[in-house]
Amino acid sequence: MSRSVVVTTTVAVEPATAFEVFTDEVDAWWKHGPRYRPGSDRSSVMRFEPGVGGRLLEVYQDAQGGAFELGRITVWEPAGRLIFEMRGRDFAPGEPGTEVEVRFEPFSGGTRVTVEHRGWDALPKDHAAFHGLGEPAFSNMMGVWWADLLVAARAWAEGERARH
Amino acid sequence: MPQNPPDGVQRLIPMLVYADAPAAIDFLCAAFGFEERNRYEMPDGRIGHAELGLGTDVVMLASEYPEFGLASPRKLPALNAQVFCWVDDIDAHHARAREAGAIIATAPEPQGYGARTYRALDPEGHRWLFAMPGAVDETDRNRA
Repeated sequence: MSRSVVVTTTVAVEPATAFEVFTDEVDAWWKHGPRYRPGSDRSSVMRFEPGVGGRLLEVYQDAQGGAFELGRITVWEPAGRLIFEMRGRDFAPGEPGTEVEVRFEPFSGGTRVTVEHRGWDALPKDHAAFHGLGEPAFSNMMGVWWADLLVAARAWAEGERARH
Repeated sequence: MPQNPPDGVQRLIPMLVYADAPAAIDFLCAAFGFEERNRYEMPDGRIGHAELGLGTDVVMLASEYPEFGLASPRKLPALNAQVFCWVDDIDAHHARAREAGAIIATAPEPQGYGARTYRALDPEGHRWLFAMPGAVDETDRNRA
């Protein structure tokens, strides 16, 4: 039912820094709230465990605690490329996850960042992840979802981060 | 009687708000092909009002004025409006925006209503839909 979702931007920091921002500093830019975090409005911290096999986690900061695993890292090439699996709360245990590849390429004194979110074809057409949308509506929705996150990541990398 | 609307502007004009309005003016000109027509700087350094032209139309923008209840989308949990804009050559427009660092959310693609569109976000998260008329593709209409 679906193609891959590709979102691109540039950021005015070197690829090594852009990779670090995307991974080590993920919680600084990954937006909060039900549209962006599996835990919805729960107080949480997003975290990449560095290296292949590491997890992308949402760690809860409330009294209930615990963490939700979005997926595992399958490619970890600092300053170059990152691939991780991604599953939402609406994925059944053992169900195939989707896959996110993030590429960091030198570009005009900064970095071109490309996010490719794929693997939708392995899901049944009526999967909750599609929110009942066909194409191109679903790809449009996912495109702006990543774009909204990249607005925040870029603002962090180029602005607030420097002041920390 | 004065001309209404005045020359070089349309009847409906978006008025956008940016945390860093001077940077936004630079970006919109470099990435989306606007031309700065004028800007009014306030004594505190904020932009009270600016106008950017695109062909015979104009978009207005200003700095954030929290006292007026105006904030950049960066500070908001969701958008309540987007800007839709017809352009002459969508592929060239897309290539220029991409090179200038726009966040490209969706590449140019035929839509079911007879237009090709792409979506780009500017650095503060305003969402722009650029479109060019195109033939209605039946397979595309079925997908939509």
